Amino acid sequence: MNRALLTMPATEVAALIRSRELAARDYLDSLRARIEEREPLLKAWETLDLEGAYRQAEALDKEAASGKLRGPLHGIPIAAKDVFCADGLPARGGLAALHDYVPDFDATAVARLRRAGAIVVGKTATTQLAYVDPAPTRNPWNLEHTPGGSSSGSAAAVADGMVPAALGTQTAASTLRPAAFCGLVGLKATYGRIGRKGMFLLAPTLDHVGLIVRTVSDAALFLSAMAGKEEGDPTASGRPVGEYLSAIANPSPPRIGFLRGLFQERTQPETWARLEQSVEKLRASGAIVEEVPLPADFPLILDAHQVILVSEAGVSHFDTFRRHPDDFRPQAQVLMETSQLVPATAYLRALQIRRYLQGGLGALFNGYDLLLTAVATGPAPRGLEWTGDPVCAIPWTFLGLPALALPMGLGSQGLPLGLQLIAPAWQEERLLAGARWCEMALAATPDLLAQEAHPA
Amino acid sequence: MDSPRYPDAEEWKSLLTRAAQARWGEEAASRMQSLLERTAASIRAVMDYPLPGLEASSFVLPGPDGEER
Repeated sequence: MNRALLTMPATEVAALIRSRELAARDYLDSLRARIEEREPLLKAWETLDLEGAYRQAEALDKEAASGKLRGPLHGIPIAAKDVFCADGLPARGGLAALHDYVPDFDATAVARLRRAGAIVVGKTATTQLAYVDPAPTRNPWNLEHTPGGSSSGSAAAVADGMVPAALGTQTAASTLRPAAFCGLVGLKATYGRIGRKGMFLLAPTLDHVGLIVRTVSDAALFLSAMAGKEEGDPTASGRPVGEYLSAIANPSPPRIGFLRGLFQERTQPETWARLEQSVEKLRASGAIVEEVPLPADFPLILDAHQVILVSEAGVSHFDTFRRHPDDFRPQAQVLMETSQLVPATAYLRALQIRRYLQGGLGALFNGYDLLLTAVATGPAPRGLEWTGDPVCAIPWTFLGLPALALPMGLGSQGLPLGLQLIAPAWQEERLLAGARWCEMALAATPDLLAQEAHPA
Repeated sequence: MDSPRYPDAEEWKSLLTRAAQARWGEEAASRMQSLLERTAASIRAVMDYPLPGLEASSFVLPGPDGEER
C-alpha cells in the first residue's frame, strides 16, 4: 500500500494517471489494501465491487497507453451513496424491501462521472432512506463517534483514504455535516444544478446531489463533470454550467457576510470560538468579513422545512411503506405515519413561504460574495445512534442555495471541525473561488493518515 | 363575521395526536409523539406566518425546464 496516495487529492491523482506516472490499477491496489484493512472497523460500504473496479481500471490503463483519455477523471475510483443507482450493483437505500433490486442503469450523477473516466468501486452505507435511522458506519477519526449522516459511508470512506471522492445526498444536512465531521470538503450545488434521475428521493423539492471530497479543487473537478441539464429530468436546470476549474485558478480575497443569530445560539462554544478564530485568520489574510444580521423571521425556515420534509417523504415512499411497513426502521416508520396526517394547506403554505423567503433573503448577499457561518453545531457526537444536529445546513438546503463545508482543523477532542460558505443561487463559481481562497488562507485541512503516522 | 380562529401549537398537537390514534392506533401514536409535537409546532408557525397578499395567492411549482413557475 502506497500511503502517500491514500489522502492525495483526486486532482493530483488524476494528473499522475494522465501523465502515466501512475497506473489506475496500481492506485486501486493501494485503495483496496486500505479498504481490506479498515472496512471491518468502519463499515463504510454497503456493496463493494472490487472485481468490477479492476476490470474498469485495466481497461482505462489500456486506453491511456494508447493515448486515449475518457475525461478529467480518467482512472479515478469513486463511491456512490446507496441511494444512487449504478448499473449492476444492488441499490437498497437501507431498505430490506429493495434487497433484490439491481438496476441496469446508472443514475445521472454516476453516469456523468463514469463518462469522465471515473471507476465505481461500490456503494456506501446510508441512514435508512437518507433519513435519520443510523447506518453502522463509524467515524475514522474516532471509532466511538458517528461520521454524521445520512451520507455516513461516503464521508467515512473518503476520510479514511479508501476512495478520493464519493457521492452523497442532502435533504437537510446530509452531505455538509458528515463532510465536516470527517474533516473533508462537502459541496451541495444549487437545487437543479445536478440531475437526480436514478437517485432515491426522500423529499423531492429538498433533495440535492452532494459531493464529498478532500479539497475545493476536487469539488470543482467533480462538479464540472456532473453539472448540467439532463433529458427526462425536469428538475435539472438548463442554465449554463460554469467554468469551475478556471474559477479557482487564481481567486481573490472574498467579501464575506458572517452570520450569527440562530447559528451561534445552537453551536457549542468551543466550535463557535474556532469559527471566530477562523474568521480572524481570513480577515488577517485579506478577506473582508462583516457581520450580517439575520431577519427576525429567519427561524421560520426550520418550520417550513420540517413541514415540507414530512409531507413529501410520505409521498416518496408511500407505496413501499404500504407494502412493507415492517422494513422501515423506527424513525422512518414514524416519519411515514406522521406524514399522512399533515394538512395539505400547511404543505402548500410552506411552499409559498419558501418562494417568498427565497426572494427576500437574497438581500443577505448585498455587498458580499459569500456568507459564512457554522456548518455543524459541534464535532461529531459520541455514539452511533444520532448523526448530529442538522440546523446549520437546513436553511441553505431549504432555499436551494449552493453551500460548501470547509475544514477548520481539529477540536480539543481530536475530531474535525468545519465551517460553511454559501453563495447566491447558480453562483457555484463564486462559491468555489471563495472557498479555494479560504482553504489556502486557513490551511486547516486535517490528514488522518498523517495523524496515524505521527499521533499527537 | 369574526375572523376565523386557527389552532395554536397545543391544539395542532392535540389534533395530530387524535388523528394518529385514530389512523395508526394508541401504541403507534405514543411512538410518534416527539415527531408529532415538532411537526405540530411547525404547522402552527407556517400557518401563522403573515405572507403578503400576492405571495399568499400564488403557487409556484417547477416547470418542465426545472425553473419554477
